[in-house]
Amino acid sequence: MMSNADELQAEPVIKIEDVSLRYFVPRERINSLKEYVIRRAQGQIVHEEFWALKNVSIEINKGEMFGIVGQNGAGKSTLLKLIAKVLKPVTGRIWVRGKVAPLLSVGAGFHHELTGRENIFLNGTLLGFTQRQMEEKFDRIVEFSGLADFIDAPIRSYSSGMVARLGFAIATDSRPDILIVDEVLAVGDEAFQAKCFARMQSYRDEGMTTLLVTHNSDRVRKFCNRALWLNKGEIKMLGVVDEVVTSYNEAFGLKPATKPAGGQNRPQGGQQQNVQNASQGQQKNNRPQGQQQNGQNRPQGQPQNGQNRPQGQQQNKPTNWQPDQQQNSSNANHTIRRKATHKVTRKPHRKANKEKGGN
Amino acid sequence: MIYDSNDRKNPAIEEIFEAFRYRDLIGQLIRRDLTTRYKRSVLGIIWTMLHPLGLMIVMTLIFQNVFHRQEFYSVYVLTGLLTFGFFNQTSSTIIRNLTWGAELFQRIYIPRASFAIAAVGTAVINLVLSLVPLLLVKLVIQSPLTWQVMLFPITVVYLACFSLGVGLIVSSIALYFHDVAEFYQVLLTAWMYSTPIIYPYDALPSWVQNLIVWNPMMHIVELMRASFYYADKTPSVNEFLLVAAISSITLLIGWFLFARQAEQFVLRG
Repeated sequence: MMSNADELQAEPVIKIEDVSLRYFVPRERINSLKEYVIRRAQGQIVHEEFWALKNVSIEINKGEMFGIVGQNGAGKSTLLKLIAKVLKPVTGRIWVRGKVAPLLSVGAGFHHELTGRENIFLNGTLLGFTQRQMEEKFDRIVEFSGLADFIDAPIRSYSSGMVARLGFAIATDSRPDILIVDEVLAVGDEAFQAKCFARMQSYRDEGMTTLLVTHNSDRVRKFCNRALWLNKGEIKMLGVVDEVVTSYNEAFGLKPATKPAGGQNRPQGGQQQNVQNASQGQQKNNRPQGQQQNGQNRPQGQPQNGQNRPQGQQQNKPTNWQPDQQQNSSNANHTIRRKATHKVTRKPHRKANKEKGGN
Repeated sequence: MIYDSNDRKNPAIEEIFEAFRYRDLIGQLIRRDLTTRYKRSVLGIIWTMLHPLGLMIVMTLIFQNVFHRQEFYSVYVLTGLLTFGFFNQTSSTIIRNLTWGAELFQRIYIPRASFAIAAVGTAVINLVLSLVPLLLVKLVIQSPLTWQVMLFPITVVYLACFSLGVGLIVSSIALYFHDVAEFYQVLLTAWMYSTPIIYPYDALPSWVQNLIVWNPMMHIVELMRASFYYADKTPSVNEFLLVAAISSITLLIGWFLFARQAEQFVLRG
């Protein structure tokens, strides 16, 4: 897995050079023209500058699986938006070679009244494909998504998992040069997730670069070879995935007080981990390597981590996720109950994330 | 395919190329607007034709006696309603799509102008469909059809450019002041009543006439009426040039304002 990336190491596809970006956050929300004119005349317009990214420089090479970790508002999404051309840097330079495909969050770019068929074309053209390209892709997309029986039903009748399947199938039908995955793969059933990962893996072998952003640092450890830790818009650490994720986890593991206050994303990560572990027993083919192997085999597993997936697989399921562990014993009852509440607890979190990072 | 943030081209020109590159998206958006609008209604797209017809009937019943000197009053009203309806619908949709529907723009790169252009495309199709009831009404009340009908496409181009321009200008301002989008709805009502749609221009006192001459929509409505209402009045070349100037300048201002601010739509959200 790593060797492949090493071979291609020499070829950068993304260059981020000393990039900074600020958002303007008006200190008081001025919404009317009249108010604006009055304030302006009084010289009272104060915009708080919020620097979402400060002097960030990274180079990402072809074929890399690059993970980005950080708390809410650390600038992860902003960085992805810069790469995806949604935002332009205030200073610095972004250079990207190749077709960038962002995996959209579930349902974005779909219209609920339209059928699956119509949505494939709508979504595909939103991603920049032409009508003819979409006609050519159509059958493959339907086949991959496994939605042939529902393709003429309106999307509103789909489950969220089905929508996610369709979205993934459209975005990845042809191999993009750079795939941006922003915390979306948690959706869909395990069989489909496995299918997604298999496809991502084979694209990676063909040289696709993947950027993975997630709050779940264990997922980063599992899939990435290099990682970036962003903290308040600055690079805290950049390097081999294990070192970065270990330090990241330690930084928050040492501060149990962050749990109720600033660190809302910690329990989140823990929950997802539990869900995955709970379901792990039933399914075999979902990227078997490494699923079980969590941050906690650090003492023994650390050096070979990532390389020795098969070993890690059976290791120490009970010790995963310290912060969580302190509150919940990880017996089966707990994990199952948490699974049930998974969706509910997840929602407000995502919203919070969007408000902070997005606006 | 290389993207380099250092190559900054003129955003207004860049946006034209990008919108062209995404032309199939524009087609898809038009299709989406047309099919979803009436998806759950029985009559479906026929409503596009029934709606102005209904309005016309109401207006005619109420105002025919007031303006009885106006010949074929129902055609007079209907041409005005269709023209202003186009403007109203297009500019409002553009503002709504660009200011409130920003969720998608936050995630992936799309030339935003394609959403605005799609709104115009939808309105053009609706307008062409509305010609069916208009011609039917003309047939029923035996209002003659003259060669000036041929001028209709030119008028539509003017109307489309003007509506697109106004929509882009207002959305660019509404980006900073959300109230503007609300206020625009009120403005539209005022604008409609200061355009000779229900009443004939000649019926106004001369000082009002002098004011209303400054309303660009009046000139566009009059051009439309030249095609479908006035049997004997061909608009002068000057009239055509005037409207061409108004609509192209409006569009240029709108496009430049909008393109300059395209990034801000993400930064300010």
